Amino acid sequence: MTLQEELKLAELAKKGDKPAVGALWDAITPKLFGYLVNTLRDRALAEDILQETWLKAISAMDKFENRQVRFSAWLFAIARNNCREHWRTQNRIVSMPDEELETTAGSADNISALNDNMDLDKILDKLSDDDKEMLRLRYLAEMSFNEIAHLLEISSIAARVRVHRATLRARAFTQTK
Amino acid sequence: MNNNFSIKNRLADWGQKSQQLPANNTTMKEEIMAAARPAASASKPAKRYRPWLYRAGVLAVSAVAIVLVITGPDLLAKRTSFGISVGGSGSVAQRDFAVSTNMADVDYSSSELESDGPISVDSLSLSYGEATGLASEPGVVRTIASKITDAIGGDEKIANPILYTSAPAPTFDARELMETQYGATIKTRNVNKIATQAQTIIRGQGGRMNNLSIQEKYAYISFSLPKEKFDQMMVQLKDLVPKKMYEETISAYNRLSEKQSIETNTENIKTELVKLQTEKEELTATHETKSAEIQNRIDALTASLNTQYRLKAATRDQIQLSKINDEINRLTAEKKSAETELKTLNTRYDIDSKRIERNIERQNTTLDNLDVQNENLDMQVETVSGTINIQHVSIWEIIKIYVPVKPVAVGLIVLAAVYLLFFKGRNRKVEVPV
Repeated sequence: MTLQEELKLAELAKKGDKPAVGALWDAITPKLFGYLVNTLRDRALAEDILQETWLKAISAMDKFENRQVRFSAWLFAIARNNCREHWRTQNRIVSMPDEELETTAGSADNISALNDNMDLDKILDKLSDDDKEMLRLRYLAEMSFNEIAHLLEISSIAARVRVHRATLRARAFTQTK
Repeated sequence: MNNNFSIKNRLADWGQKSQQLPANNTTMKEEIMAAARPAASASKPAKRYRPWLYRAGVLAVSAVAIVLVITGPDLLAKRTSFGISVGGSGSVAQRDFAVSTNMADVDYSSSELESDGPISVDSLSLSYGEATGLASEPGVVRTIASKITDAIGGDEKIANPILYTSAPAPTFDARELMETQYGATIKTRNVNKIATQAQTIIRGQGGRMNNLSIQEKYAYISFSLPKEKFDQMMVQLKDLVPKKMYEETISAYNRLSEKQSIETNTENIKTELVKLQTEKEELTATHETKSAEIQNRIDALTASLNTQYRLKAATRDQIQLSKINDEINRLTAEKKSAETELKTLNTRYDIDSKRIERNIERQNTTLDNLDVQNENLDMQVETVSGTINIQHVSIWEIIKIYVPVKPVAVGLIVLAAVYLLFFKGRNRKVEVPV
């Protein structure tokens, strides 16, 4: 979905257009839920946060401003805030055992591709939280550098540099595997 | 590079595969759709945010503000400097200080100012204050007076202020024989074109080229032009390029002292010539008188000799003959002496006459030279000699001419631009509901 299509749907959603909300859900939820699962390592918790995020977004649609930033980026910002709030109250991160990860990626038919994904997950686990976050936002949430910059309140250049460095570190780990 | 491409591919693939839907996706979706309500600000059209416009506007305003602050004119005062002659024993000292007024506006109607004697600082301050309208402000006249006093070193009385000019001509001769010299520097992107146009202008005004050198990035023209055509030529030359690309220097030198010298010398020579002529006439007259006198004497002696020769021929008396011979000898000697005297007189006259003639000739030659000098001087005064330097200018130099921003300002602008482009993003917060 292009930026303009997304913003157009967001405008309609602001007016209470339910099909527009449904279209946004279909476009954004796979990335958002995947991001939350990868971040929280708890599927149930990820579902809760997902629902909480959407409800907050729907109830505060008037706060969303068309600033050439995707509606999805705004949703991700809400989701990140919710995650931080959860961690602040819980003060721990729950890591998911490997068999749950397998179920999570269950749509993959190719076993070697599945194994490859799991390997990459393990490699990414070795990275710092910041690096993991950058890679999640860039490759999982498919955000542009500009959107990442808005989300993290840094410059576009800084966002680009951080993603690049995280990628290099991930590559280094794959080579030493 | 291949490694990078490979890891990015893998990460992209991983990202794709990590995307997933919750188990109860449909239920959750319906709940969310049901929760959808028109937002409070939905009826209002959203403002379109154009960050590029914002950045450009901030940059433009900052740049203009910085340029104006650093290079803007001082709008509060026009500055003119004039010299103040401080009288005293020994040499006259002249000091500059700036006053915020146009010299033409200063009212020197004070009688003290019009006098030749010293004037008080207060009078000068009051005149300045009146001319600029500041005199009504309390303490201003005193402030001005104290500034003048500081400038001249504490003396409360100063000589009449005089404008800075070149050395004044003698008061008894107010003639101006100004020899004008003109120099111009033209900056352009097309040296050849401007050089050709300049030549056309000069020749069109009746001038001539003295020296010409045209290259790709530089041209030099030296010319002479009748003075009456000078103003016209300047106007046409200035129209060739924009004002800021044109600089001119006009200097004028009063050749009055040379003219006076020529005139004085001419007068002296003419006087000398008259004297020499008179001397020659007197010499000739004297010579003619004296030579006539001597010639008369010689003629008389010759006549006497002839008489004695007749007597000798008629006489046989020896005693008489002896006396006649003695007389003949005496007359002959006297005649020879007279002839010698005449010859000497003539020789001296020749020498003196030639001397005087040589003097006259010399003076006439000098007079001719002075005439030539005079003509040359008049020609030089009536002719303007000029040079034009035409220089190629780069785009960067043109920018520097029109926007003489100091490097500090440029640095500030660059920093502002870097900040806006690279760091502004830090401050742009995505508002999220709590």
